[in-house]
Amino acid sequence: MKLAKISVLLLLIVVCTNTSVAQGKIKVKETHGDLFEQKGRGFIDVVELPNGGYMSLSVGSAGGGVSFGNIIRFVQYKALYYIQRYDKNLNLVEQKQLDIDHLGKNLAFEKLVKFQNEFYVFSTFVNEKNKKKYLFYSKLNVGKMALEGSFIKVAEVKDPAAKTGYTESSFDISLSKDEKYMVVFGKDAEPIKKKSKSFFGKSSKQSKIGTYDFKFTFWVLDKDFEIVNYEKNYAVTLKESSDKFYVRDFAVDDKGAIYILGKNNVIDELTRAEVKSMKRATWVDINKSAFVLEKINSDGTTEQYITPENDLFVDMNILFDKKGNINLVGLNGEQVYAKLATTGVSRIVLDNDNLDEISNVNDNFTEDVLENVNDIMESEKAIDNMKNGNRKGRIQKKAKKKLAKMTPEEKAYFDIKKRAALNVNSIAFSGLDENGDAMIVLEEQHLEIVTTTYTDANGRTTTTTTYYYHYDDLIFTKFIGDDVVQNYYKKSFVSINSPLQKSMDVSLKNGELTVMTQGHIVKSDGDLSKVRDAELQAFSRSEKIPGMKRKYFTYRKTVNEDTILAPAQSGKKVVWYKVTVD
Amino acid sequence: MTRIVLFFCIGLTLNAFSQKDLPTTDSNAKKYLDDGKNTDADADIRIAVTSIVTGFLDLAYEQRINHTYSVELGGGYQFNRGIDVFKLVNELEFFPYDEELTKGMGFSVTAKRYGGKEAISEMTFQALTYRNRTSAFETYSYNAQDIFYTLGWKYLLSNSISAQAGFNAGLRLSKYAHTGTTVGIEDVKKTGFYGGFSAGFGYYIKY
Repeated sequence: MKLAKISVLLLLIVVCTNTSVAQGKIKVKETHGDLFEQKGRGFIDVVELPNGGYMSLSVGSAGGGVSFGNIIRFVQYKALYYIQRYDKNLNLVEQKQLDIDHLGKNLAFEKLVKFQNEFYVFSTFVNEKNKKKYLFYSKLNVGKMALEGSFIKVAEVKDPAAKTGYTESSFDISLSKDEKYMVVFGKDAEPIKKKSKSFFGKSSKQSKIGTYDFKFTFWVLDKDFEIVNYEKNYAVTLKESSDKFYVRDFAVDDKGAIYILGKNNVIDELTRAEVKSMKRATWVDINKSAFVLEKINSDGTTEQYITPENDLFVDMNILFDKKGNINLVGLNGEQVYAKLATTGVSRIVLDNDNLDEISNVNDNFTEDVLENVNDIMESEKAIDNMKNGNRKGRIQKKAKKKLAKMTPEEKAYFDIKKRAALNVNSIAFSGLDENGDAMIVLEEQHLEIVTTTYTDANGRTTTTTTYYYHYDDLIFTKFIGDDVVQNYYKKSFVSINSPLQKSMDVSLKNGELTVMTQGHIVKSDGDLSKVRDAELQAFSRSEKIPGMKRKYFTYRKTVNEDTILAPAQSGKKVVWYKVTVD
Repeated sequence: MTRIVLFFCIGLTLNAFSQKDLPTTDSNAKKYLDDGKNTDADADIRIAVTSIVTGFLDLAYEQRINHTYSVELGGGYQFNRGIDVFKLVNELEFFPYDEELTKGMGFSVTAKRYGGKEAISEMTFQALTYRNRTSAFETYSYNAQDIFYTLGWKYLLSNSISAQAGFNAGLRLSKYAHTGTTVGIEDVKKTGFYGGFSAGFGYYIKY
């Protein structure tokens, strides 16, 4: 379903604007394969083949529909999957449909997994009679570009498909670093709880705090696809929690132990009286935004770690260092009305055996980084100066007027701008280099919705809504021992009416980060002292491909530490670019 | 001594995972894919609901050739005059609208192409049909030969009950012939557009 949505999104018009500023230039090598007509619409994966060359998967659809108003609709769609094989220069060798249907049933593509040097396609089927969703795997014969052997059922979750009012059931698959183990997490579809409301339409009391069990099922498979660990409805028990737990990351280590990391939010819903007395514009108060790490050892014993109670975390990832210790890299936050603004980064290192804290380093964003990524204007500096007692100059007079007009909420956002990266809500990339130093890359993203009403000469009024997806500045942070170094890369990219499938791709080699953005390759030094870039000719309009009028890039992937692949598309015409960083 | 240590290590590895009843992966996918729905039908027997409006009881048998193509044979019996949609837009002065229907028959041959290798269960299809219908009245007979293209949709409503809907457009070759005793009345042949909407319900068969 997600894939069908992606393919529909790709049909929408994408209009983009792009600017960037760096602290130096680097050299990159760009090559591309020959033009070909793609089967399908959007790419969903590309991998490097062990014997050289590359393989990609794309998705399209068959069928169509017509509708007469909202009452009569004739619609039938089916997702179709295609497989393409390329030589080492990214010239297409062969492409064909990848048939993942079995016994007359339509299975949905879930994931392509490389495990023990073989490729496997995982697919799902919702059986309405059994009210279950099943997960199957089949081996992909790369030479024949087809599935071979049987469809083998691995896991199942509850899914009353025909009923509405249920959450979507799901599977997630992860491999251990040494590819000895694979873990499948399964989540049942659950009834969506109806929010109880008071007479005035607002919850009168704070969200119910208590001890809650958050259940999921997991299967740990060894390299022979034998299930070596399994727990049905395993419960993560959280004390002093709200009734919501947002899973952010999960992993399996080289010993077969599994880890699940989730966010435990506790939000007070304020009463009408509290809002009035506190002069608040919002009805919520963030009491707690902690992350909980649960480790389930292969012998069934468990450990739990909860981030310090007074710290508010926006996002967090799990990384394993060479010693096997767990590195939780996260974003620290501060509440501004109902929003949690990202103020800095943290790294918590935990002992793998007992999840004892070995170290906890955190740092706020530097003034230099914030001034650049938040684009603090002269007029805003003037307001700040005025607040600090400097009232001279014409610009200060304007500032005084502006300050007087600000609502308390606007003033709060103005103040937090000096401490937080306002449009950063998640970690775009995290990794550990060869020395065990953790690196985090953040990207400012926000959605701007503009509704415009036109009235033509005949008095007819038309209202259009335009969605501007902004992908802006990058923030680089690196934890070197107890020190945190930071830098930034200024860029601006807007995609209109269609979000990007992927806004950037990151690789980490010799302690240096390489990021591919829309139009640039950005590279940091090992100590982040400099962030340099190179403009990609591939993204330039002046770089013409014969037979292709325009080029759109909606997908890219780092296939190894030095190489990023990205298809330039125009309708069904495709050229694959290979970008290699020196 | 080395051997003892080695055996001890192997023992530890084997016991690393908790001893409990573990499920196994299963290569018998059929067990999990069987949802009782006849999504891999070989044939479909269908009654056309929209034909009833025009007085015909049309039955069709659709046979899957492969996962993309199928052929369909249909036969129809006219049980009453029905609502002559064409009369509403193409009234013919000489046609005896007040005469009783004495006999009406028809047959059709259709070739269908389904998208997404989903013949013949749940998908959009395109079809080309030849249909021949004759209606006999007391003094006249009316014959219509239609060649038309259909863009249609197939649905599986319950385990084996199918539904089909489609929009048709094509050519109609019609002939009005006098069969009564009056002499000197010539046949009238007309060529025109044929179009419309058709829908029906069927039953999927798996041989």
